[in-house]
Amino acid sequence: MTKETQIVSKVLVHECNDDALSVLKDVCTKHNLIGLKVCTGNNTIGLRDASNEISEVMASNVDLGAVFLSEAKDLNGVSGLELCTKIHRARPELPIFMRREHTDSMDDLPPSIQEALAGCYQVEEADKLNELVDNYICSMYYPAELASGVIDLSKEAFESIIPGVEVRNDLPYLVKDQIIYGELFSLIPLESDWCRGYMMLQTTENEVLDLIRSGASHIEKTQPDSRDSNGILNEATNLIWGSIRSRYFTNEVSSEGLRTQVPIMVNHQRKHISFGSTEPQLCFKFTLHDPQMRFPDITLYQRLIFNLSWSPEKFAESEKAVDEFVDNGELEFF
Amino acid sequence: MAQILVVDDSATVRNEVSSFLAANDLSVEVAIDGKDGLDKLQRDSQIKLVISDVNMPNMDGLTMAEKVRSDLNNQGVNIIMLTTESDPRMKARGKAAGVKGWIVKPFKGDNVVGSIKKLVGAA
Repeated sequence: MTKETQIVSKVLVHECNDDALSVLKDVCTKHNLIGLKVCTGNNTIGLRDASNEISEVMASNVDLGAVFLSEAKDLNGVSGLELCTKIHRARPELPIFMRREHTDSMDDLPPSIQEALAGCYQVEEADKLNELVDNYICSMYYPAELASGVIDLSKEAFESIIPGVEVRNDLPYLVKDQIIYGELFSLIPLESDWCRGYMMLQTTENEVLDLIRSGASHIEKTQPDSRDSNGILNEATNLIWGSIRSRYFTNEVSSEGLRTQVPIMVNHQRKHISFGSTEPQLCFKFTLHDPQMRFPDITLYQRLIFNLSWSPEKFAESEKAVDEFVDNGELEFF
Repeated sequence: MAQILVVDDSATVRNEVSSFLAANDLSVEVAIDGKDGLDKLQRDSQIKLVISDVNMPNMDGLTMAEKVRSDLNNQGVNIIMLTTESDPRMKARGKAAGVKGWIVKPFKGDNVVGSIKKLVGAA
């Protein structure tokens, strides 16, 4: 797997023990986790309440994979035992791992804390920590070819909708969070013999309206409304969906397989969407940058959620698509 | 009176394609789905070419193409599909409905404008 197609995951870390931090660093390296360390009171920020900083980090990161806490109190006297219930209330889908001092069991902890935790470990138990990460964050294997292919297809779609745009992307990453970014998102089913689920694109309406106002898109309006911003996201979704189908969905899914469905739950107040599965979703973050500075950067999150069926061993690129006789955009006469 | 009818549920695509064609001296009308497309085709006998999406609400592009030949009994108008679909089964259905050609999105006007002009007799 090249660096370009490496699939990572962002995790929040509140840990004040140097040995534990060293263990966590090794685990993060092994599993391609990117640790977002929050203040424990011993840094240059000074005495700052970790729970406030965790709230800030969580508010600005709606795409986390897990949280690592410690039972020991930090220099502000804040323990992970206090933090875990607050985090669990705010983001119940996030697995929380607690480092404990004298046991890796959670049996002696109050029920409210047990309910919030995915697992406990001790600093000398790297194997157990690796197992927890495997079970909760890396439980779903996504082919690197799929991740890199989706990035390429998506970039091409964005470039087609906004001529001259520069599309930047972060590394693809695994997300347990089910928080919706922005207020504008699209959903479209992905159905094949090796996967069934959805693709979701998320952004903010204002960013798209700024784009339209700038005249950089194909919509020529100085006072665009929500129908116009919907139209842009709709077309991006359609283009990416079509390309994914052409390239990766070589066989039809049987009608038997199409019968299974689960409700998708949306909580607008909490900006939360659930597809009924707790498996990590494959997430891509794109930044659309205009070198001519006609509009501010647009942030787009794309998620692939294979909640109904997932058989990556059957994943293959369509030979026809890879060896296309007719390129996209060319007219093929019958 | 238009030479070309562009049928797509996406305003972005309608604008993109119709602006490009207009800039190349072609007259264009737009429709928002297959049903609207059939309607406009029935009312404007000057339309020589339909460029249509496949996946649209209310009536898809292939059904529209079939109805152009059967319900409207219009065998003369050329129909090209402009779509993200590239499934051979879809193309076969289009071919059976008398679809003349197939373009896989995204639309790259410069690549196809020559052929489009020929189809409307403007080359």
